Amino acid sequence: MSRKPNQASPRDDRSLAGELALGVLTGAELAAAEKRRRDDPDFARAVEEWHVLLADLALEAPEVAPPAANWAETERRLFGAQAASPGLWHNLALWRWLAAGSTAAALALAALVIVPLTAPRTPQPPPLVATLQAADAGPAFIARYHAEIGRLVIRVVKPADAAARVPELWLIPKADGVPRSLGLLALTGETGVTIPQALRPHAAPGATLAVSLEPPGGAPGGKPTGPVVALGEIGAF
Amino acid sequence: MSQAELEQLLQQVALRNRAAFKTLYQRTSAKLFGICLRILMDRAAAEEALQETYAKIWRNAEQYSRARASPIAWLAAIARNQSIDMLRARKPRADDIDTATQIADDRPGPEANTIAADEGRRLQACIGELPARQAKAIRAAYFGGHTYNALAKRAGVPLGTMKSWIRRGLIKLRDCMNR
Repeated sequence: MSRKPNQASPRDDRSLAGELALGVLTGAELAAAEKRRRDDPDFARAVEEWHVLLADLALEAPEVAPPAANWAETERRLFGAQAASPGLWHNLALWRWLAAGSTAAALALAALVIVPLTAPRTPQPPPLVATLQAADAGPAFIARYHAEIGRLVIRVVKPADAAARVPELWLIPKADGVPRSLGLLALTGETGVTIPQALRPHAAPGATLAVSLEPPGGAPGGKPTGPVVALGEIGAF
Repeated sequence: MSQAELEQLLQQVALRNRAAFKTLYQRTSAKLFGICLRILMDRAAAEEALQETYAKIWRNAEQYSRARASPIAWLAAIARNQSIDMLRARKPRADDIDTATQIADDRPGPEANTIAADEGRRLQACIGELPARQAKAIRAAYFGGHTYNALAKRAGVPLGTMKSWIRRGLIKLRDCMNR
């Protein structure tokens, strides 16, 4: 395609995504490009690639330390007034169970943290949450529990390399440290679990959620047999 | 801090690890604050932008993908976009003619960029290959949030000319980066 000199080059698709990312468009051109980003996933991806490519320009800016108070403000904005992070899980009964059942492939206890959802704006009882985390190579899950309806939603953040085995979810109450099965988890995405009424009192801060890899159909005999690949403590936000 | 370490931190942040989030902040906030300051030219606004930036990082860390960006580029893009949004909230977009902020157009000074040294080098080389007017226009747009109209007025050229500079500059940049 030939271009006359001294004229703006004709609309070149290769640059439109870049122009949008750069932020130079206005009016009808801008509206059209935004619409295309919404409707055309390839275009949307191209725009994102431009943001990344251009980000090296941002990196030209020299570093300037922000004021010390800025971090505290950031934390407050995200997590509310709570400052404390929970410590490591330290239930002896659980440690013994894990030592008995685990294999070399399974376990690394990272610091267990409370998963804050968006800061609750109403004074309802907050949903209980847990992050289940394993060794770097292992799967990871995020769990949210809505106590009012006894519903637990597990989201797979990093799937298990399950081979012939299925992930099974366990609740380990603080009171007795005995794992109770909450059922099998999908390998990816979200699984919703309704906790049986009898178990609900145990799904409370201090209890543990764990995921083990079991034979298809779940652990025979209702006790975990496979390696524990993820572990998390239930905490309130 | 290496990119690999930043990636691990981001993964941990995606898993809602607050200790990792704090470490990420400690390692990267000077870089991102520098970006916010450069764009907003105002400390109070830059502090606000920085908080919003880390809030976005916390909420969106799962979306980071090594296949699509280096971690520092991903973080920098969030900081830049947040700052531009705030900049534009201060002034209307359609007719912004800000001739005062010349600083944003200039090439970077010799200050050391501790995190970015390796990451930015390729773009530095590529943007260095552009005609000066194209590079200057792209930087002005990137840091100043200027639209075509404003860029053309600032440079004293017709709109069509400025569009041509930017488009050609962008295409050359991408071709260069893809070599």
